[in-house]
Order: sequence, then structure tokens, then C-alpha cells
Amino acid sequence: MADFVGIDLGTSTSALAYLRSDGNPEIVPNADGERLTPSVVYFDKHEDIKLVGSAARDGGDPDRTIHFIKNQMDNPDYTVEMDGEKWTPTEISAMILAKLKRDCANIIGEVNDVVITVPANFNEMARRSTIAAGRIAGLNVKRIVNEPTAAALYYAHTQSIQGRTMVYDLGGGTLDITILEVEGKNYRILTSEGARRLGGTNFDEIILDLYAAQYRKMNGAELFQDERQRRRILNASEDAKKMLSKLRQITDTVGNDTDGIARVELTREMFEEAIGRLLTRTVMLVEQALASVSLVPGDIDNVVLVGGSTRMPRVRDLLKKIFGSAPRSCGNVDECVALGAALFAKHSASVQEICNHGYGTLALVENIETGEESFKNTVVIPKNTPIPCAETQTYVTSEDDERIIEVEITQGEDDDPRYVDIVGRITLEVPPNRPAGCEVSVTYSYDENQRVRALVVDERTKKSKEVAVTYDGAGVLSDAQIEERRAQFERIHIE
Amino acid sequence: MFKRLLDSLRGKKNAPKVRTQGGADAAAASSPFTAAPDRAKPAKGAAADADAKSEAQRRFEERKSDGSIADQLKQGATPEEICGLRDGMTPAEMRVHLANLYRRYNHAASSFDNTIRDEAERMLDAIAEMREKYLAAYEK
Repeated sequence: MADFVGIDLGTSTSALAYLRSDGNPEIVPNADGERLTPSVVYFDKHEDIKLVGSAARDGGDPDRTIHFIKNQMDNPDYTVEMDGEKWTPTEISAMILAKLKRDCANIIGEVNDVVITVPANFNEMARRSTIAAGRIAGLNVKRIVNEPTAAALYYAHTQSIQGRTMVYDLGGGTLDITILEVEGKNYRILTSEGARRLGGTNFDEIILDLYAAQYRKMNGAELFQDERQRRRILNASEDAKKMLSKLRQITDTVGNDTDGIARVELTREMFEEAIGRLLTRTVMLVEQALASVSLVPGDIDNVVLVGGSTRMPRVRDLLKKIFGSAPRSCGNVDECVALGAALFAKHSASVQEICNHGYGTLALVENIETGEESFKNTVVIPKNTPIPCAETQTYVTSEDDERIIEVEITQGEDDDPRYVDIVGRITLEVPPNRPAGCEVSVTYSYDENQRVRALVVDERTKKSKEVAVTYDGAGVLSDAQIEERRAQFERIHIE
Repeated sequence: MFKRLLDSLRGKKNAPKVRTQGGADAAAASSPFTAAPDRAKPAKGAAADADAKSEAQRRFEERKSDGSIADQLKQGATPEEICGLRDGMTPAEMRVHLANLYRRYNHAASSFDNTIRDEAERMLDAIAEMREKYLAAYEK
């Protein structure tokens, strides 16, 4: 049995690594002989088999194939309906994890305790969904760790990086930026910022559009009419993107059965121009990360690359321009998150993590000088607070004879309530006939697995109520449902 | 959830209240992206006025429909208008303004509210366009 196992549950590919007895991490190939397993699930029509990986990605009916389920892990209402049965993103992800667990067990023995990685910008719900997916797959999820944090451990282990380090993780679906201090074998995370829908799949889609435009011009017809055709071209687009990281120009042949084929040309320059807007967004995220900890590029000792999209020359050029020196790459940028997760499984105590989001509550905020009041989000735990942590903020009732104190638990630091999410709510009943101005303390705590609890205390009566943040929705499973699914999953045929 | 909160305000239950110090309406006139004060201070019994309640109500209703950035986009507003860029803004002001907008909408792109998410994606695109147009995109 492997003691220290890390899993990178990625948007486009997933991987499992374990720590060898010599202390070095190693990727465990799946039963198909692949080190990276495509995060794709196929529901077969004829046999009660769920295919996961390359077989699912390359062959089947697109209507029965689930891609990029990770993008839906924080969508409480998202379900996939197949043959009259509804599957949540958690369950689909559990199939991918179950495939990794079962396949790798043949090589390293039974896999139970694991660390699973998530993007730094995953919100509470997505993190909980990931833990639930692990449980359903029969895993004991010891910790959740941010992908860039795991990657930083791998870089420190293999390349001896020290000092203030920025991890630039441009993966299949997201961009994560983490800044941390590496001192000896201790790691102190300073900040993590992330962007959704900013990754390799977005670049693939842009190449797809370029192909479609050329095809339309040459053949006077649409390149694809259905999802199956679109998927096929999208796979070709991904290949083209990879080639353009090595070549300045490529020629590809694309087509369909109805309107014939066309030879399309694509240069690196055309591609880079087309993705310029997305790259500007990556630059702005780098700047945001630096600003959030009051640093400038010159304060960063190392920039390290993670994720397949960092192979694009333009990405490296941009980072060189910003930081003045070339970023470092470990070579296996697709695997370093899983490898780092295995290291984290053993060395988590040496990593000081932070609160990934700010948590607060909605309140009337009064300006003492003008007396004006406005309705705002007020922060109790600021983002980037080292964890585990607990912070208290004192509020007062705003009117006489208030009987119910309602505290909305918000996630986000924006003071405009429109731009934060309400992730929980506490209602506390208090005695009648009290004047306005009674103090209410609100304490939030945040643990190593990024779970949030809230405690509200009415200071006059000392009456209190405490809750753990939970989520509701069609796509959210209760504890009982998770246990039920876990039992069911043992009988599901996953290949 | 939002509606119940507003009901609670109308129904003379409370939203917790904090006091802040500052110049002329620091709370309202400061950058909309400024974090709330670090330290909450007890207020002395001033009741929430009707304007504050209607403001709260308006903001929550905006999440769903009228007045949203998404509506401005539908109505053909320019990226400059959507991003709130004004004539006479210096490059430094523009940079800070766009960075603040980016922070807001990048977070909103992960909102539980699909309307906000869609709005955020379109805003992020407009912000990047303005960054490229008025400031060299990759300059230090």
C-alpha cells in the first residue's frame, strides 16, 4: 500500500503520483499505460460500462461523452442526464478518481489516503465537491491542496528553488498564480489568484475558429455541423497548438463528409495574435497577484512554470518581459502538480497555507462624520490570512426591538454585495424591547481543508449559534447521499 | 436568499451594522472596490433610513435584471462606457481603474449566479480590450 499519494484531478487530464521509499515522487501509469489520464467519461449505450480516459475521449458518441466536468464543480444546479439517470459533477469526477485508484492499485498496492489538488481559485463549494468525489470513489481525502502549492513543492524538491517564488500555472481550464516564500524546507504561501476559463481549452477553441474561418473561405461551407465533427476538429486544434509551440507554421487537413476537405495554414504569429486578448488577461492576473501582496516584479526571485500551456513561446516571452529573466521550467509541466501533491502528502506540515477567499457579512455601514449609511459587504476574514485561522468582527443592531439577527456569510472581498456570493446564513432570535446598538460578534474560522464555520454571539444575552457552511442545489450531494453513492460505486464497472 | 435578506430589512429585523470613519462619505464615495473597514465599531442606535433600504433592495435586484453591465452590452454601449473610462483620465488612473475592475470581475466570474458569471466574462473581455487599446498590454 502506498502511504503518500497525490492526485491532480485536472480539467483536461488527471494523474496520480506516490512517494517512493527514497522520498522521490513518481507518476503511476493507468491501466492503458498512460501517465496522464484524460478527464473524460463516456457512458456506453450497450453495456453498463463507464469509460474513463483516452478511450472515452477518442471514440464515442459525443452526446454520451462528458468533458471538462471540473468546470462545473461549483455549479450547484448542474447535472448530466444519461438514460434517465442524473449524475452530478461530483459523481462524474468520482468516476475519474475511481479509475485512477483502481488502475494504480495494480502497481503500487491499495490506494486509500490521498491528497487531491484543486485550482487556487476554486470556491468553497468546488472544494467540498472535490472531497465528496474522493469519498464516493472510495478514497480518504486527507487534504485538499492548491495546484500551484503542490507544484511549488515539486520545484523546490527537484530544482532547489529558494526565496520569493511565483508559480504560473496555465492548465487546461484555468490560470493560477501563487506567490510564496521558500526558506529551506519551509513554504509560506503569500497569495493565490486564479482565473476561470483561461487555459489550454480556450486556446484550442480559438484555433478551431481560425480553421473554421479558413474552411468557410475555401469551401464556402461550414467546417462542422454537429458536435461529433466539432470534437474531432477540436482535437486537431489541440495538436496544432502543440505543434505551434515548436514550429513557426503548420499545414493541416480538415474537412467533413459533406463538403470535402481543405488544407489550412496557420502560423504562430496568427495564433498569437488571435489569443492576444486572453494573454492580456493572464498579464492582468499576474499584476493582481503582485499587487495583492504589495510586491513588484523585481521582488520575485523565481518564476516557475506549470501546465501544458506554458510551453507556448509567447507565454514565456511575456513573463520574461515582465520579470526581466526567463521563467524556469521543470520540463514535465503536465505532471508536476500530481508529483508535488505526493510530496505534500508527506510534508504538509512544512507548508503555511492561506485563506483563498475573503469571508464576511452584509451590513449597513455608517459613516461617522456624515451619518450616511450604505449597504455593503464587510470582511471578517481577509483573503490571504494564514490558516487555520479565526477572526471576529463586532457589529451592532441597527434598530430598536430587533428580534431576529440575521447574518449572511459572504465569500469575496468586494464591498458591493452584488459581487460576492452568499454561502451561508445564521438566524439568531433575541429577546424583545432592546434598543438599537446591541453588540453582536461574528466569528469565522477556516481550517486546513478550507472549511468555513461561523459563530454568531449576541453579547448582551450570550446567546449564540454556530454553523458550518453547506450548500444546497440539485448538483449538491448530502452526506447520506455520498455514502449511498460510495456503496453504489463499488459495483459500477469503470474502465 | 437575497429576497429574505431584504424582507428582513423591511420587516425591521436587522442587518448587522458597522461604523466607519472617513472624509465626505468615505463609505459611499470611496472606490467601490475598497475593502470594508478592518475594525467594526458600535453604532449608537441610528435606525437604517429608507434610502439605505431601497439602495440595498436596488442592488440586489440589479443582480438579476435592469441596470446590469450585461444590459449595457446588449444596448450597444462601447467598451469605454462599460468600463467607465472618462476623457481626461491619465494612463496611471486608467491603469488603476482597469486593475480594480479586473479584480472585481475576475472574482465575479466564479459567482454562483450565472447572470453575474456571464456578465463578468464579457466585462473581462472589455477590460482586456481597453488595456490593449489605451495602455501597452504588456508593458511593465
